[in-house]
Amino acid sequence: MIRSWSKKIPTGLVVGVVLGIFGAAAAAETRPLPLGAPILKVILAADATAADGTPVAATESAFDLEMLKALPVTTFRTSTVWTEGVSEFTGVSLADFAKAMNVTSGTMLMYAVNDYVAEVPISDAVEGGPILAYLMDGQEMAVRDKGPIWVIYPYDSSPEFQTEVVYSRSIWQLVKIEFKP
Amino acid sequence: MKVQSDIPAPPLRKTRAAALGVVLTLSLIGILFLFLDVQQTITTRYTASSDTGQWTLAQTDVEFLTFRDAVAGAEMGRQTLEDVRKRYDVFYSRVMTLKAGKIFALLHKDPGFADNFQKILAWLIEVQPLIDGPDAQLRAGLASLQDGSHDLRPNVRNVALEGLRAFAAISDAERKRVADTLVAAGALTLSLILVLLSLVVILLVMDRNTRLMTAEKLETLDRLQAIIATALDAVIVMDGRGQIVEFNGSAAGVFGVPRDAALGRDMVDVIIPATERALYPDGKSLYRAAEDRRLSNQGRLRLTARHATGRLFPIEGSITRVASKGQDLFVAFLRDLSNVVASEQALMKARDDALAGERAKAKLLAVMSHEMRTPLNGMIGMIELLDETEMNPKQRDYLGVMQISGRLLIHHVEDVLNIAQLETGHMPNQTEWFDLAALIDEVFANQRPAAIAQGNTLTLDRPATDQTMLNADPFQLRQVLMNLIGNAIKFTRDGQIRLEFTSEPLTGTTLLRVVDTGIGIDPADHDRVFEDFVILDTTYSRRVGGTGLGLGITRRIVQNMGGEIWVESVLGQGSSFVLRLPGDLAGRQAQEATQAPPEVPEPVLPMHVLVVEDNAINRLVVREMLVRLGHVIEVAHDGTEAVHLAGLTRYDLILMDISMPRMDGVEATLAIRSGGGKSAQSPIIALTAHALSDEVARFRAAGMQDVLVKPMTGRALAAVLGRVGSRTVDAGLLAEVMAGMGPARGPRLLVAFLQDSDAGLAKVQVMLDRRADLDEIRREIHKLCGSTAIFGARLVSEALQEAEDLCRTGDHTDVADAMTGVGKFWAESREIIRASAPALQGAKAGM
Repeated sequence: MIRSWSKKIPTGLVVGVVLGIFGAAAAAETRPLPLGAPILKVILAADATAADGTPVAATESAFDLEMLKALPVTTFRTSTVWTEGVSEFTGVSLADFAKAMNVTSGTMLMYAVNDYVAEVPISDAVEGGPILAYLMDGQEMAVRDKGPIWVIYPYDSSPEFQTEVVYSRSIWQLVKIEFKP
Repeated sequence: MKVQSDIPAPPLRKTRAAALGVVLTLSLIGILFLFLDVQQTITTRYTASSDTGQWTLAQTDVEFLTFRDAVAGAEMGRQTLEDVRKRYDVFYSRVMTLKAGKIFALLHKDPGFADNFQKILAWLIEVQPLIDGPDAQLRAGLASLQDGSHDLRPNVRNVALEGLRAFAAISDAERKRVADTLVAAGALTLSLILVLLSLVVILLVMDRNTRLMTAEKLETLDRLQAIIATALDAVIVMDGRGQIVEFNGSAAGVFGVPRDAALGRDMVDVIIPATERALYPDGKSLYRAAEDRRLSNQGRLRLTARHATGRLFPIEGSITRVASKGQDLFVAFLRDLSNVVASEQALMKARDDALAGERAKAKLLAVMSHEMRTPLNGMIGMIELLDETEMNPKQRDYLGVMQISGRLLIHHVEDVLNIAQLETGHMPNQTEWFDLAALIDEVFANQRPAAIAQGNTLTLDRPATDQTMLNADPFQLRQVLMNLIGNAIKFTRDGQIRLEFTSEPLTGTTLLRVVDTGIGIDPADHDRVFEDFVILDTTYSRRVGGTGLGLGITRRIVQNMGGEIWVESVLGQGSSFVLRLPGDLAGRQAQEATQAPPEVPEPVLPMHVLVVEDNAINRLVVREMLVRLGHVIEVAHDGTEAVHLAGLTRYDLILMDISMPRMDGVEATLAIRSGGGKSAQSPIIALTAHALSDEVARFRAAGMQDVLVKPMTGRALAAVLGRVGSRTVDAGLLAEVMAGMGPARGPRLLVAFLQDSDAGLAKVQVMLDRRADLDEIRREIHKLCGSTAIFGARLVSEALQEAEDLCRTGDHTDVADAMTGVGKFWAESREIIRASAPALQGAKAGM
């Protein structure tokens, strides 16, 4: 599961803090630190065996807003059941995000600031699917406005996105994502 | 026959089906609509997320308490101010969600909820500067936050409770709506099921009816199949393309093709022989042919069929077209006519055989008559000749008996011939007016000797009027009366035979009655007596003699004349034969004078006669008779010789026998007529025993003038000679003169002779009228006498000779009387001379 970061991501912008939790091997990681305040913690669960056959330890990364903005941007307009009218949401699509994390299967445990947790399967991370929105109508979102990161599905595009399950996965005030196999 | 029927569905059934269709469609649409509604409702409930709403409401309380915990913790230094701010933010965010979220819009209409919510919102905005303010200010305000939040607690609780209550109501309403929808869907479904159930019932009934009808149809079909299968006629059913779809057992038998082998094949291929294919190329042509015959009332179609073995045989049949569901079926009923045709042919053969038998009989009779007549001819001829020789009285008596016996024998032969003639209908019925009374007198005269011999008297009861003329065939009637009177004489001894005749104007007929006082006839035999060869009393008939044909012939003749005959008799008291003939009696004045009684023919001038006869006796008889009459005779022994002689000599008459070896008389006659010889124009008389009338016609067609039936009598010969020969002109001499002058000069000189003679006779007449000198007249007469003698006008010449003599011995009156006779002879001779020279025919007008 663990791969070196894609060369496509600019080195100056993509800064990852990798902390060895279970072994010293993590110390060898040289991932740039986030420039702003880290707003999203991403944990990649340990894989039983890596591609080269060695056991791999879990990794934890922290993303600041700039790092998220550096990822491919997705924008769409939709209404939500929690807001009035139609708004424009901008963020990184979960598909792009999973791709950036080199994850193709499993589930994501998403944590909110109030300790709400939702389990989202990687299969939701598809083109035209949910985004990790960081802009609403071009404005960054404060915690009071369900920011800074709000998982938004394009509800208006399909009745499929107007289900209880989707609503329960539409986590606001997102603070942590844990990728699990 | 209607093998398949297609009963059109009644309109009612169609309407019912349409109504049913509409109901079903509407029910289905309704159920679909309701299903969509339920689905929509469920989806809505699923998406409306009242659960999320309830969660949010519950979280509001939780997050408010967490915020209060954080405030309390910060007061006691267990938690940071950041924690207070974060929890404020979270709670704030939650409250904002309640404010903006669509699902909570309904809650705001609830006054209880709205009041509490407004208080919470107002407090949050009230404390917001404190939260966002500097740390020190916040820390100082923690106590007031604690108090304020404490006061706010019931409001938060109420918001949660009111919200939950409202959501419950909404849920109830939705549940109720879903329930209603489901009830409606259920009702509709139920009604649909009912409709379907009734449909099932209808279908069951229909199915039952269909099964009944099918069973009925099958039964009918079975019965029909049984009829077809057991039909004696071959039954073949073919479809529109002429292919066999049914072929019954009789068909298999008739055509020798098993049913399975015939099915599916072309009917024409199976039953029509290749030679008839041109006429019937396909099944439809067969049908059309049968239909044409039927429509034109020509009966059934008859044609030649082929058996599987290749045998051809006649069949007869009819073909019907049965239209079934737009498809044509042709049903052919065919019958093998082999037996019918065979029996027809047998019948025809039987008829032909019978006809052949008749012909054989006629031929036998003809041959028999010839064979019998030929020797009879010789006998009777010789008896006639013998009669003229010197004999003693005893010999003459014997000869008389021979003559009578011979005549009787001829009479019997003629009876048989008459039967044959009458049987074949060849006897002509030539009617003419004649005096019936005279005819009866003649018959009486003929029969009187026989009657006297039996001691009978003959009487004629004349009618009161003088109407005695009858229009009938006198020869046939003579024979009838001869037979009846002869019969009466035979069966009557010392009695009376009476003949009476009356006219019956009402019926337009004449009745003749021959009444005798003889032995009579049993009434049971009244019809039988007219049958052939019936002899009632054999012992008696032996005595009287006869063939038993007499009355049979009589009845045939009477029928030939268009009349009828019957007998009225009492046994032992005599008989009465009654004749009814068509035609009324008429007065003599009304009619042309009766025919003169046959006169004895005057002797004619000697002729040069060729006798053609192969039989030596007959030749001798004819020769003797002719020589006695003064004629010059030459004989030929057969046809070939006759043709040869006729080519060399111009005979005045040729007597031609018919039945001869090498070349018969008819062939010889044809050869002479077409040969262009000297006798090509000479009269030819048939001399034959073949007396049947169709034979006579054949002789005439060959170019013969007359027929002399053997045995020939001197009188019959003389009659024929009288018709052919001439009393006034020596035909032989005339022919010689003409031949001597040649074909170019002869006719011219003949014309001159006729004109000169006419002129000379006229001149003599003028001189006599003027009382000219008798010597002058005599010289003129002498000239005429010479020329007429040269041209063979012998009678004229002789009369002129007489007149010439009278010029010397008598006066003018005597000569004039003689010249009158000359004129009469000249008129006759002139005709004969002119007729004897064919080349003059064209010059007729000029004469």
